Amino acid sequence: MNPKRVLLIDDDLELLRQMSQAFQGAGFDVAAAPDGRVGLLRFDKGHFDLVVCDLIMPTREGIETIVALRKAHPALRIIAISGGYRVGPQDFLDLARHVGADETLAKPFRLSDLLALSAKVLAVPAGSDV
Amino acid sequence: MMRHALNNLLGKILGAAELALDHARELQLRTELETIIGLSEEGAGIVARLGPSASQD
Repeated sequence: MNPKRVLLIDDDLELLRQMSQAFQGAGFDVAAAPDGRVGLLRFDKGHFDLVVCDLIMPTREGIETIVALRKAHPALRIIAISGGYRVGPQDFLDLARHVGADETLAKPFRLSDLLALSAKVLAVPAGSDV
Repeated sequence: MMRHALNNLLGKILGAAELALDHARELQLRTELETIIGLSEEGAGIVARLGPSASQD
C-alpha cells in the first residue's frame, strides 16, 4: 500500500520542520510550504491525500488557501491549525471549518494529536463528511 | 497578537520535547521531557485565560 501524502503549510519554519518529522515518522510522504501561495503551487504539482494548513500567514493566508483547495478538490482532506484569534477563542478555526476544513486544531497542540486527527480524517472514505 | 505569539512558541516547545521523547531511552531524561510537555500545556492553559487585550494587534 502506498504511503499517504500530506502537504503541510505554515509560515513558522520550526513548526513546519517538527510536523514534517512527525509525519515522516508515521510513514507519510511529506511536502511542506511556508505560505498559502507556495502551498497551492506545490499542491498542483503532486497528488496529496491531506493538507494541514495554518490560518494566519503573511502571504496568502489560510482561509483563502482552504477556500481555493476545497473549490478545486472536494474530496481532499483538510485540517486547519491556528494559534491566533481576535474576537473569541474559536473564531478563526470555526471560519476554517465553515469554508471547507474537515477538522481543526488549536495551537499549541501535541504532534501525536495532529497525527491522530490526520488518521481520523483519512479513515473516512473520500467524498464523505468527516 | 500576543496570544498568537505565545501559542506558537509553546507549540514549538511542546513539539521539540515530543520529538525528543521519541528517541529518549533513559528514564530521567524521559521524565524531564514529560515535565516540559506538561508545563507547556499548563502555559497554554494560562494563555487561554488571558484577557481580550492579549488578542489584539
